[in-house]
Amino acid sequence: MTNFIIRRTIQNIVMLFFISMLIYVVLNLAPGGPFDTLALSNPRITKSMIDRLNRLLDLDKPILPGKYCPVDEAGRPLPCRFDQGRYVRWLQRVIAGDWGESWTMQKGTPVTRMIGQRLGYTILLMGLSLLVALFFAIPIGVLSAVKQYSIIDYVATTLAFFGQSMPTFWTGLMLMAIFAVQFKLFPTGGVRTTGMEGDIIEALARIFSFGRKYPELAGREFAAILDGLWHVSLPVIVLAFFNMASWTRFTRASMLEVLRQDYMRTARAKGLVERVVILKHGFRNSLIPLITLLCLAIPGLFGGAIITESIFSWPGMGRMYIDAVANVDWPVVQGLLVITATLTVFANLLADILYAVVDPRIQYT
Amino acid sequence: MATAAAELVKAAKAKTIERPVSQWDLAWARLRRHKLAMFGLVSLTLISLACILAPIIAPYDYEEINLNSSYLPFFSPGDAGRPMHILGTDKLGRDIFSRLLYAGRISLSVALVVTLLSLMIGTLIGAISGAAGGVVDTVLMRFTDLMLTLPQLPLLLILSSSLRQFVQLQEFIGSNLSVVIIIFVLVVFGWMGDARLVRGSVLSLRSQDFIEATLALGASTTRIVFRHLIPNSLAPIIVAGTLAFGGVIIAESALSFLGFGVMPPVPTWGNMLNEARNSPLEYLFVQALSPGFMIFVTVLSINFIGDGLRDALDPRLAI
Repeated sequence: MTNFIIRRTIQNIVMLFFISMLIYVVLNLAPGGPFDTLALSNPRITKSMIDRLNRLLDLDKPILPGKYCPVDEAGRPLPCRFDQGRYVRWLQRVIAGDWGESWTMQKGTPVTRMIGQRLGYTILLMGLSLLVALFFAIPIGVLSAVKQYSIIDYVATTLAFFGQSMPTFWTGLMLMAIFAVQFKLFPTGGVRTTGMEGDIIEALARIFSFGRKYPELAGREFAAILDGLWHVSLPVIVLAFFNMASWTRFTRASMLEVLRQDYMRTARAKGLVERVVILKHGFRNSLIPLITLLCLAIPGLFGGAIITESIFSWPGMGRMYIDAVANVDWPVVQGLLVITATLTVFANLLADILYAVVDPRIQYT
Repeated sequence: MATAAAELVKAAKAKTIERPVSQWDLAWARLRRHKLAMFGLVSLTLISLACILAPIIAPYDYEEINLNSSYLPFFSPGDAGRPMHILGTDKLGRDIFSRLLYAGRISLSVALVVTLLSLMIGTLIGAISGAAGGVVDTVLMRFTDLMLTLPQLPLLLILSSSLRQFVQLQEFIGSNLSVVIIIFVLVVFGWMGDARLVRGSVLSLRSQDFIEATLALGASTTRIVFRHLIPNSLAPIIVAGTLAFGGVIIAESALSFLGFGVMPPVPTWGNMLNEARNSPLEYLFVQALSPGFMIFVTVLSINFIGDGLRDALDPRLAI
């Protein structure tokens, strides 16, 4: 097992190296840079000034290690030399913890701080929707497996098909049109009512830091949390409904697999009550494959939902990502992609390990 | 299932059909008993037909602008002597129903092209990987793993936005650039599942007797791959391809919805939803309902068909 973990970790690090290189190269293939808009907006800025700015950010260097032929201030070519390339330079800084600064969105703000500002909102949204989805999907999945081919099973399966076929951008817009615009039950987006002091994340931060953070929120935490929950409900419903579809199907499939096992018959033969057979012997074993899926949901927990967050103007990582792409803010984009890729790779490893921990039948060599 | 096959055999005898009952006939017989799959097949056919016949069916041209009648609700009468706007009009007064039909042509054909191309690439890579084995297999499969680990939607957004920056490409391809780009990026991220599937199937087929017999008869590797290994893996490829088709429709719509896919004036269901999102809130319902509903019904039908095909083509079921 230890061998397996060590080997897989090394493999994963090699994999991450290639992934980061691929991401970096793809990002930097596009022409244009952070100073393009500057040149367009101010005619007095000359080409040589842009070149100098680019040189300051190392943007004139080759992407991968290779030949670098610099030019001096006047544009005369200087002798060529070997350069380690922007990718290697960037990778060294990322490993050292310097993720660069935003080019356009919040010029000069460290990417890590921008991510820190958004992380709480994304975890709240994604975590709540995962919990809601599991809360409904697991009982429905178990029930429809236990009563296979019954009305409940057909309804659940059909609903799962519906959920999988409805894109979140449509359900999001429809729920907004019906419940926010028509009936005015929920807000159309954002995290807090205008004029409200403090939002749910700040209130939670205050509670968990025992009042050290956001002292101005004293006594208003509860109102802020309620307001935040009210704002998060529509996006949570959208995401939960979408996730529920696949979770229901997985639970059902996993439970059906377990119901066929010999130990279920043994449990019944021992004279156990059906409820105990299903819940204690069946359900607990059917959770094993679900652990894998739960691990694979981790990257999403931090990566956010690009579409739903942008529909409901939720200030999470997904929306930051799409804004960064639209604003050519490559350091932010790179930071987010590195986080998502790292989490995906190690969530896979975690899934494999947990699987073996929970199920002693599985042995890695 | 057993009865289906028996009936078919009986029917074949009764009509004295000379052709023997093939595996595909049996699969078709099983598919016909799958009610949801039949429902999917019928509705997908209807939708496709309506889109193909759009120039005949559509009451208006999809680009016909009428600024006096923007954001009309459902079933609004047209101008004097013009047809009714069944599904209302958009911001520029264009007939939504007509746009829906033309948009379907783009959405469906993009999805079809992407699915077929990724199936071809995936099948080729999977077959080579499985048949060659050794270093080739390792390299190809590690690359497949790498592509599967990449965050898809984020990289799709980047690729399609950066490809658009290349001016030469714009001059070379012209106004349909965004369609070509989206096909390209979706294929780049679409082949991995098929490759793994075909590789697995080829690996299990490779050790079977009939392949050894073919080898003994002196067939070349190419012949074995294309005449024996790939045709015998066809059933899972068809199921995967069908389900992928629905996924591609959603992916294309998602990109177009986010403004990184097919660009207006070329309509697709996704970019119609994007325009709906930017309309004033009181018109949101009318604007967003129909394009999204088309995506939903199409994808639902495809998923039903895929489910039915999986049951019908599964050789483990009793025949």
